[in-house]
Amino acid sequence: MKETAMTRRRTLDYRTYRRRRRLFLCIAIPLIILILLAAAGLFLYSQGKLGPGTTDATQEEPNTDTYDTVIDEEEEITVPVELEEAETNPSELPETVPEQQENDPETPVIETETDNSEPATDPVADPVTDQAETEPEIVETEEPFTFENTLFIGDSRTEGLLLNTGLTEATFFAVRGLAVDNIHYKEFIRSGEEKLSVMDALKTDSWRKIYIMLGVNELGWQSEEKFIEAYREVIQCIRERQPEAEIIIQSILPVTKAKSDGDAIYNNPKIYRYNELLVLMAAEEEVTYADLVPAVADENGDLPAEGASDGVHLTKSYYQKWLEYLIANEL
Amino acid sequence: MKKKLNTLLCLILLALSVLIGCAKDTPKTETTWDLTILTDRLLNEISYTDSLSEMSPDLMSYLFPDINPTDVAEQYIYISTGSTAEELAVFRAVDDAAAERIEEGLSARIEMQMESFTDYVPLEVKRLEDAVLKRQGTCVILSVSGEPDKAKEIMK
Repeated sequence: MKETAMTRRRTLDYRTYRRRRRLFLCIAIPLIILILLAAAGLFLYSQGKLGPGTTDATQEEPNTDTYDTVIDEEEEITVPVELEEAETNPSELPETVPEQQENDPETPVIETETDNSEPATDPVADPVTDQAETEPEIVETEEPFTFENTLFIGDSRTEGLLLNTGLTEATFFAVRGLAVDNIHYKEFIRSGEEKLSVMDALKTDSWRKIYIMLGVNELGWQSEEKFIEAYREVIQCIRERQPEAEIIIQSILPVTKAKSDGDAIYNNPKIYRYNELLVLMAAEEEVTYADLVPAVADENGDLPAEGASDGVHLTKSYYQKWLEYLIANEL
Repeated sequence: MKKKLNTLLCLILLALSVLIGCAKDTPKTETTWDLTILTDRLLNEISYTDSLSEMSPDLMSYLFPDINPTDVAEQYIYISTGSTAEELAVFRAVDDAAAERIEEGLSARIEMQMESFTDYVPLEVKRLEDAVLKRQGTCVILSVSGEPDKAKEIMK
């Protein structure tokens, strides 16, 4: 009797235990899952993978001042024939170039491309007419102008072009004080642990186009003949090392009127005299001469006061004008 | 039963603390300098002869060939038009060792600039001699200006 009572009690205890256990499993397990999910959510949120943290990517938008942005927009522009012709007659450029530059990057050709893709999806539009309207522009578009595989050689102003436009697509052998004489021995180009002169560095790679701008540091030279002969030697040395490259001599950029009027060395009459000599030398050496004066000068041929803080070195926006001019004229 | 509940609670607390601990791991390298504020002050409270322009991070290797970009977590670089040696370079390194390497890279930059200005504008060498180069934790700052004392004061 006593045994039966004990067995019953044990059975009762066991049932209570089973009931409590079931109750525990029903409540505790979902609770644990809920807490763990909340903790995981908190962790992800704090790591920026959820919620507001996802805006990180948009915050790292590219610098709109960099060259990349400019070239992306300009790439689509078709340069009219007049501009190509104007290359031989720089005096015509101021009229045509601003018109070209006025092409707001957000407008024409980019829109044309979008329009061109529309007829396929738009049943109302007339595909033949639309294509006829847009086709000529697309067909005539040559390979986009690029600075890939190009080299810029020059002094502090060429260095400024790189720093202020972010033209990292091109290679730059530019340093403060570079001139047509020291270009042969001034060692400033890094190649591993050693430093090379321009002439040695030219042997390390090949470029399809080489832009040169030298001359402002030589304005104080006693003889302009010596300057032009030294420049000629530079061209010949470059050609020896890079026979396939197109060599472009860029004109010496003018200085501001204030600087020009007050400086016996750095003045515009002297710069223009040097540029005249460069035109002749370029023709004799059969290399391209790029007159950049229209890109930065005012109607009197001076660099505007806002174009340079010291009268010589360009401000950011004027470096940008220089680059835009090269692009617009496909130089 | 009570014992099991306690164990369970302990486990949950442990999991939570581990997760929260991991989440807070990122800002461990923060230093006392707020780089954006500091950069802003160094740009605006110091008088520069030339105008300084912000440089794209893509130009790092050109401007600072001795600094490994992988050492850099954050950077603000401002350079003059070329007429003066004035510049401001503010870096946050990925860790303390990287900060040390960046400091060495900036010292090399000062040397490089001195070399190029010596024959060009010798007056600028003075500014480079007075350049303020300071490291605090993972932050490294180089200020080349005509007002080195003010730069030091701002960096305090």
